[in-house]
Amino acid sequence: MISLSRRSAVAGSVWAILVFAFGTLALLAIFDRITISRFDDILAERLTRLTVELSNADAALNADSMNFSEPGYGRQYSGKYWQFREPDGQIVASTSLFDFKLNLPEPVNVEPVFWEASGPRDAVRGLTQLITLENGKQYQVAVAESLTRLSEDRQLVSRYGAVTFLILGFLGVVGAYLLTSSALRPLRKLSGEVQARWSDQSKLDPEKYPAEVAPLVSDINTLLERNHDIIARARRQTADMAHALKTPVSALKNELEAMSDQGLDVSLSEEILERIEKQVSRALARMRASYSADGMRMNANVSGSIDRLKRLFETLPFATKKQLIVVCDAGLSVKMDQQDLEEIIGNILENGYRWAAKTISIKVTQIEEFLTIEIEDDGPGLTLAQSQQALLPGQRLDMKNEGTGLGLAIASDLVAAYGGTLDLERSESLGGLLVKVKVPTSHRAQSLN
Amino acid sequence: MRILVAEDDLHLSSQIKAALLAEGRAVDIAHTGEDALHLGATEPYDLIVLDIGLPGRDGMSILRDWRESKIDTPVLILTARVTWSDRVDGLDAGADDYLAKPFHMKELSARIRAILRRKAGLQAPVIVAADIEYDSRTGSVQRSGKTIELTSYEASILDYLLHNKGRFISRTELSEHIYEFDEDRDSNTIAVFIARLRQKLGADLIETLRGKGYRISDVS
Repeated sequence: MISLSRRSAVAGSVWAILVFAFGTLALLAIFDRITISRFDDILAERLTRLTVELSNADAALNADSMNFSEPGYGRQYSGKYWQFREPDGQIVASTSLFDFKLNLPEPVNVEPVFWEASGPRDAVRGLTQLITLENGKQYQVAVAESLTRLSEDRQLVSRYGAVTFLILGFLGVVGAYLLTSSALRPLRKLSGEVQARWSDQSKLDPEKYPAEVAPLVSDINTLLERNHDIIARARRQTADMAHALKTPVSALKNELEAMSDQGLDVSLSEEILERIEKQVSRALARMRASYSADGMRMNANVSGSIDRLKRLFETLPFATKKQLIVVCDAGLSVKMDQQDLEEIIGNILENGYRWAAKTISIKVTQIEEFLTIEIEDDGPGLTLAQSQQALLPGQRLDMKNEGTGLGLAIASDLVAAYGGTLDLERSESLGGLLVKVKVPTSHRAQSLN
Repeated sequence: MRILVAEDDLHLSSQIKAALLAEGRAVDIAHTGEDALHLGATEPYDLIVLDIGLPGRDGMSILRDWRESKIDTPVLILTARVTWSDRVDGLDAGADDYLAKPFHMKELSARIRAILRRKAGLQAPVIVAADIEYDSRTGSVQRSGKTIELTSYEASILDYLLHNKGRFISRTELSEHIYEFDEDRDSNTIAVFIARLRQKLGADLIETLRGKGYRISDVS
């Protein structure tokens, strides 16, 4: 879905274009109306003056005498014209018309009529009227003026209007963007604080948010709390179930051991109990993995986890006298629950320690949105068939070595829960097994994988 | 050696107790977190087997409380929680070892012996003092290659003195480490046990210093 910022930018731009177009058209329409009205007023005044002059004139009418001392009427094609038709049909016109005669419409009555027609150089707008003088003679009088000046003014207004509206439109878009950014700032802050809260579990403070957002913040607090509770309860239940199942299994195992010490054959019972034990372990691990996706919101420090596990392995009998080489940047982190990350690395490391002759290495690299953990050893390694078998639950490849045989399968389940992959290969550098874990470090990468 | 087993499951705790008694340990049982916390803080145990999932009080928090109170009794965590994080957290909280359920009793015994040896600064399970060889795995004693039969209490006293080599141990301390919580503790009987040990193992093995107690020095 389009972001709110982009929405506001797009909507602001569309709005600005509409304002620009509509504003320019409206301004021009208003300008036209005002200027034409004034233009027509001037024409009406000139027509009145022409009519007065005509009624005052003696019988010998001529153009020069009728130019009312108006310089425009005396200059050829000046743009200002007058013209009248005598009762006998003779046409008398201003000097400015020179050899041109205006094509006047026929007035149907004594009311003045505005008209537009071609002039000697360009289009003209005029006013004509049929008048009857006191002597009873009828004249059709007309005044006209070129529309060129009007068009030039109109273009000027259009140009300035367009620039003005462009600036206003731009300011409108910027204003809309700034307004939206400002309005969205509390939501961005909320998003950041929610992200942080997945790790530190502190509460969001609704009072730090605007009144419109505060109820949402309270709701998020409730949801986050409930989510944490559900996860914590599920984990507690898993731990309780582990305790409830494994403790009697322990007691049963010891009973069988005691019976075996007394010379009784309990091998079948021991084998069945071992199968139960593995099923329980795998089921509990699966339960953990099923609610591990929540960990995508958490941040696990990879080098910190490796250091913790290294410290632990150094105390375990099977790991003594073996060397672990660690290549991992201190700042590397992954969107994962710390326990799950340690469970994955711990299980693979345990397998490595058990099989290695002397050396185990762990190398962690981040490439784009994926974290790769490579754990290899100098042990015997696995064949292709053994590799496929190793990821099945409870498959012990060699009974000589201790361990449950579940480690790699549990690690594989957990990696899959985070949308990652676990591959078993041959180590080129150490010659034994190479376990390659690739986990996405973001939701986007998770969907890509 | 006196051991506290903090385990809520009745069957499992009695199995552990039986196994440890058979090895000559004095064993107290705590079925709840509160009992474990109290006993661990007030009784001088040589080792504590601590289940994490105790009712009333979580084993991990009990361990932290002990360590904060400077109680440095070795602790072996026994738990159904087998995640690697739990193990690291356990060790970080001050545990000496970690054993996941279900477990073999022999493994628990071996881990307990290893912790006790480590605490005593001993390397091998067979402890040699003068012409005496004591196998801490079986509790058997040989003098100049000849097997010597010891009673349970005699073996317990020998075991404690060997694990605390070079240090004078008072009768009171010995009685605190060989008797269980609800047993009658008569420190005078300690003198009787010591006399019997001298008869069986030679008069020079155990030194006595009036007012201070008993000591075995020549241990390897």
